[in-house]
Amino acid sequence: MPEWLAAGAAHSLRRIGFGASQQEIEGALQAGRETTIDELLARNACDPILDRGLPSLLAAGKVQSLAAWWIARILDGGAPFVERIALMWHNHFATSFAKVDDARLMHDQVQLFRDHGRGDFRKLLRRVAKDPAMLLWLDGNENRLGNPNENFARELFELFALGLGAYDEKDVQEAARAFTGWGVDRRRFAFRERYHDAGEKQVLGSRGNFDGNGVLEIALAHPECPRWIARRLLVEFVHPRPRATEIDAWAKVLLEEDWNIELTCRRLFLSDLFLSPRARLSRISGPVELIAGAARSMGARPAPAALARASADMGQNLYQPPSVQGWTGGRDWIHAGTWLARHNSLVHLAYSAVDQGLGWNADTLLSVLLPGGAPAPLRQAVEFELRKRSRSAIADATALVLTSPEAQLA
Amino acid sequence: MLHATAIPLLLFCNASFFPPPQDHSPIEHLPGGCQIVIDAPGLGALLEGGLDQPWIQRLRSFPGVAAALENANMSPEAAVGLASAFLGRPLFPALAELCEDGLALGLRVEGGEPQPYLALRSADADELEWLVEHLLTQTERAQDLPRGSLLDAGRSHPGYPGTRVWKLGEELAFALRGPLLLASKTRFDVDAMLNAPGSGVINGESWKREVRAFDERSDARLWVDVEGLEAALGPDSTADLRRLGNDPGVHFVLGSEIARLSGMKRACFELFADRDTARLQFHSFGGAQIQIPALHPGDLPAPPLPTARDTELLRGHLYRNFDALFEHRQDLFGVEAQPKFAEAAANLSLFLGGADVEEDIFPHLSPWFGLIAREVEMRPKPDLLLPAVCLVAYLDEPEILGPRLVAGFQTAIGFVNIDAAQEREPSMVLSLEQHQGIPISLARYLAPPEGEGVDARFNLVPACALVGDTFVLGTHVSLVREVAAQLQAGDVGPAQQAIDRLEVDGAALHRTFAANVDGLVLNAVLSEGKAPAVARRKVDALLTLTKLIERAEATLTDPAAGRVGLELSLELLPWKKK
Repeated sequence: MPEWLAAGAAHSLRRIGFGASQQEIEGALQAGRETTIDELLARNACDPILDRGLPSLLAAGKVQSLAAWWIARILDGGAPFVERIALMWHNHFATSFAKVDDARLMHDQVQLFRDHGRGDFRKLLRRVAKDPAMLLWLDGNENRLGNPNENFARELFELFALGLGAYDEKDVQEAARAFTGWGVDRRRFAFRERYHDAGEKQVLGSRGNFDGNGVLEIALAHPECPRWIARRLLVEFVHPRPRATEIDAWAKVLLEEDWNIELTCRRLFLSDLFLSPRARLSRISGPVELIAGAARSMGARPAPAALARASADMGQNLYQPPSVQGWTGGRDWIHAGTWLARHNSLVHLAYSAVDQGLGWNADTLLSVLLPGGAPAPLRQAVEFELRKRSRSAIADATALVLTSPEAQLA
Repeated sequence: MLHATAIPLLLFCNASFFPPPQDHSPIEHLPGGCQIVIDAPGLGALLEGGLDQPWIQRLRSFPGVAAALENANMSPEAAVGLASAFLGRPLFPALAELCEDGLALGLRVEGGEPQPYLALRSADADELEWLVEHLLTQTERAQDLPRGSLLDAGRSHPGYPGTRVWKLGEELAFALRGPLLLASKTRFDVDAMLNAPGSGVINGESWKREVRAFDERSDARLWVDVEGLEAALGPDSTADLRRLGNDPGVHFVLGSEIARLSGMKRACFELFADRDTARLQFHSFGGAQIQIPALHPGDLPAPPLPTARDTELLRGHLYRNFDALFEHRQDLFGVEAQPKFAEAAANLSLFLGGADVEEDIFPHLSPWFGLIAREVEMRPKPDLLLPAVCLVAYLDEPEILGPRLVAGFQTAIGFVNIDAAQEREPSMVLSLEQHQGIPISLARYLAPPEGEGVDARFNLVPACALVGDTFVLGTHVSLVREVAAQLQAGDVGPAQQAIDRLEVDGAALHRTFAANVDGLVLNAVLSEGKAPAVARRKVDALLTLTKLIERAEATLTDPAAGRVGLELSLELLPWKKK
């Protein structure tokens, strides 16, 4: 069992939630590893004011406001794991407002991830398959007897449950027939029997008069399904390229925990693997976790709407993933098109944080923003800048740290 | 640096140059060059009420103020008691007496640095002197300073017999002469104030010409030398203001009178306040005069509007002469604004069946428009509930223009539907109805299913009606029905003499805010980054404010050539002592 030190506590708080202040890290050190993780998993109460205003926000139908609302929940920190897991499933079951064009349905889908994303994955998949936003996104309404639309069936196998190689084209075609008649009527799931193909199908080696529910059960029973979900959890929480042995081991844990995501994650977070050197600083932070993490670490309070716009500029427009594959992440987060936006947003965040009265010396600045340690040249540059003792020098030093290569890693 | 030290010395040596002490009002002691001047002759009367003063009571009813007072170490009453003990006099009567004959504040911005000046005149010279000496002695005790270190720092002014001057630290110097107290940052500035009568800010040509004309009964006045500030701070400081006049959008939305503010050189605000009312008058000076008479209503009164109802939130008259704006667009606006006119004319023509708006529409449309906002019953009730608004237009040739405008409304709904279809969004159903014999065109969305959230778009049931020579266009059919029926029945108020006038009903405004309070709080959290509790306090303050207001009115008046006049009146609900 690795020793529970500040860097490990900061790593846990960053990976399970969205970063933490120095005070929270110290609290985690005092509380111990297991208590900290249990507390992170259990917390599920953001400021009620955020929920009270939601109906009017949804009524206005602006997805940008909804993205700001999500960022506000993340910054609030009242439900760290809930929001982290919701963001993970938002990327896994990537659905975009660009086609759904309904803020209420987009919110309902993400709320589904909040409410059920930590529980039994099988139940989650069954709900997602009937989620109106998903049905609109993958053309459920156009999937009819005699003219099946393969979009949902294909993504079910390729992206949601199994991964490439576990199925063939015929499986997709047959599964699409099973989902015929599944559509949306007035923002609700609707089964329209007259459009349903009730004939016999053969899917992943099973034969019968399956409907959509039947195909979901076949996919869930496939041996690749727990591996696929275990892989997703490892990519999200441990390392962008998990080893096959790790995937197998954690697929087994998932089944031992009866597909319960939270219980599986708890074991993962308490494992040696989670705090291993290979896991630490192995991922390039996505825009949301980067800016929310930086703001939370510094105790800054930027406007959520501005952060949502900054995140979009950096390539992660909440509720609008670029394709059904979601955000590919990793090195794709940083390229010529997004680096400038990333740099500018971080500099702006640094200045607004210092404008709010935050001030620090080199030690606190580096320990808060780079708890994993800072390279000597960066430390020297920060110390040099802070010797100027002006507010703009503090902002410049903060910006220097936030835009450093080390700060881009989670 | 040279003038700060050398000039007082020079003044000391040339005392005979100074005029003898005279009885001047505080404002006369503000030196020339002040770009911002506040004169508050009525402050003494306001302070007499102490904490029981209705305005202070109202202020204390604001949740943020109440919370701050609750969290403070002592109650306001206890703080006043403590201050009174420190002063050796009851606080508010002492303050009232201190400013009984007026208080003036000046600000001069030079080299980017603001220089403040304060002048006040007490009713009782002995009392003022006692108060100053007492305060200095008490401060010595409170700060553990040697006895007399502050009090004895006062020196007799060599140039002004009977004047004592103190210089305390780097930030405060003041002079006491009879009932007069003058304060600024340095001795040099205080001397400038002593010397101001005859050469101070109110002796400037613009002040003499413009401000002297104002009502002497006002309780407070604020004078801003916009041109002077611009010279001190650079042209960027007024760039936005200066651009107003060349923006057609400002002329169309805010009106050509407001657009004239772009050229103003000075501005003056006057405040009249009593127990339950406040009136703020604004006058600008030096703006360009409108050379096109049609852009100004002259003596033409605004036509009557339907009588106000209990549900009314806002009503107003607006003077917008689109015909003249289009006709004189090349004289009024730069070349960059011209395409906007062409685009607007083309778009309007599209809605109006190909009519040439400059030939067929604008010349037949009165420049007077009415604006009414009322609360209306909406079924289904939207989650974000908004009041309905309608525009009342007066037509010179209703038999020609009326049907065209009704057809234009229907065409516009058609365009909206095409756009919605392209975006796979719900479209509106157009229909016609008769209400008390008035034909009304309306459009509505199909109702959402039971139990589903009701989107903001359900606030919109647009409708229009033609009643005699009046065209009514509204966001909700029930308001259009109501207004059309009132017009038909002759249930209208008197004609109004003003340029633009807007009246707001406090109770209705309060209900509208109260209905959307959670949304307003969330908006402050998301857009401004306020902590939820802070955002809630901010919205609560807004709610409290609207709860206190009975009626507010903004009127654009026509005081004289070269001026823009705006009057804001606030009637508050009578304060009931709890």
